Amino acid sequence: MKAAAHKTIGYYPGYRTINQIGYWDEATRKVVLERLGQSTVLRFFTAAEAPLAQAVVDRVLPQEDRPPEQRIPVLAGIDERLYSGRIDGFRYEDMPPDGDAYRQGLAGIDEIAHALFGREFVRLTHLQQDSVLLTLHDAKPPAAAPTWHHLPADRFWRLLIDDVVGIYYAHPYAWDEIGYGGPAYPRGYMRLDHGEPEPWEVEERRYEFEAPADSLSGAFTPLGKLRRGAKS
Amino acid sequence: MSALPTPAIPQSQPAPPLYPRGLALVAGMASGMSGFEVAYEHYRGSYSNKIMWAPVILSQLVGGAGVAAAIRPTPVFKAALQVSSATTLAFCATGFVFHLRGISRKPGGWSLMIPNVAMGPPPFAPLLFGMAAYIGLLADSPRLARHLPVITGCCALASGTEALYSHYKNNFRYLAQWSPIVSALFLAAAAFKYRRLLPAASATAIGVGHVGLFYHARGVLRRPGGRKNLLYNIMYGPPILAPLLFASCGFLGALSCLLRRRA
Repeated sequence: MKAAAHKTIGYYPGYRTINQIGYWDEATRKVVLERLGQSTVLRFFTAAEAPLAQAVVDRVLPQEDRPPEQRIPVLAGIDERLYSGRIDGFRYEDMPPDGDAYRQGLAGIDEIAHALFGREFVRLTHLQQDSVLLTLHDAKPPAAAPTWHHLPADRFWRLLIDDVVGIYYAHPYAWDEIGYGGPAYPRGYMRLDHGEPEPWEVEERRYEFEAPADSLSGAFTPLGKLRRGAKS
Repeated sequence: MSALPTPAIPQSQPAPPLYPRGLALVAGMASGMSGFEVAYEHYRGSYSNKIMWAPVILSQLVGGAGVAAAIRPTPVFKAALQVSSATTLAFCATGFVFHLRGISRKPGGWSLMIPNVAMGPPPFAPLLFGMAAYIGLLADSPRLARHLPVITGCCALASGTEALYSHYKNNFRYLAQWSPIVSALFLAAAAFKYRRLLPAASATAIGVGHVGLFYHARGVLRRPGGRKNLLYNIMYGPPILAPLLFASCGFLGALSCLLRRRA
């Protein structure tokens, strides 16, 4: 492992979860290493959809603070899930299957971009892209975007966020960032009281988070929800 | 200075028994106390093996026999104390093996030694538990005086090791958590080599143990729920009697000083 060249972001300077590999069992090791060596070839999204999908994911969870080789392939994770048809095990009756939802949703995002700024999503500035996505977060897409007349914006937004966050925080690089030790088995934890760090953990060093100027990350608005009838 | 002739001690007579009644009482009381400790520690281990009841029961037998032998030192009570103490010592050795086996059976076994020793059955606890039984067994014998310094040293090292990994488990949050480790080393050095320091080292260990008792009790009360969840907090908080077990190592040292002076 290129420990020296690795730049850690987050509150745990120098911490790398992968250095704990000696304490995991074989099955755990295999799972974690697979996540590190994940292919970035897209098989579900078409070449035409890929740039838009990448742009959306990059705004939902920006990784500009990471060196390019240490960015977590979130889009590839979504692609892999949709290609292999892994689902949560349920689907809302007003939602299409996940794959279709993504295809329609991406088209719908471009429609919002056109309605608001008259250009494709990928050609907007970061701040404009954030405002486009904010309409989905608020569940108030402009009426001029026809996709959202039949695709429920709040549910699509939830689908997207669940996927992005789930895939990001399943990756060992994200564990470095949050100081998480990875799977605890078989070693477990021993400092159970007072929030003391385990011997192998790194002391937390907090700093103020300042949202980049070209983003809406600093603002908070409650999650929007569409109104539905009694039976929906 | 005095002109009075000192009475000559007849050399042929056997040495008188050394404080046997007091020693029996010490053995009995200490055994009862450690019985309480082992009862709740094994409760935490949910008595998963029937043999975990053995020290709980035996400690009460030694306790009863010790107190009885102290009050009325009849041959029956003395024999009862010796038999129960000898049995306890045999179970202490067994317990030591079982505790080591318990550690080796935790996931990762000895290859994850530090977390497994810290979280598994305490390896030296069964041996320290035998301290009281040991005094009970030899209460009547002059051999006790010869053995005691060595026993004191061994107990100090074992108890110090227990304190070391238990306090490491707590990240040595308080500077005072180093005191039993330093004091144990001092006591062991005095017991094995620098016997002249033994009174001072023993007194220090006794003092450290009592300060520890205070801190552990405070730790129990400071846990969420404090006094309202007392039983739970005693069970899962800092082991409340463990510092006294450490103090009893110092007590052994003090006892060995007294017996030596008497001899």
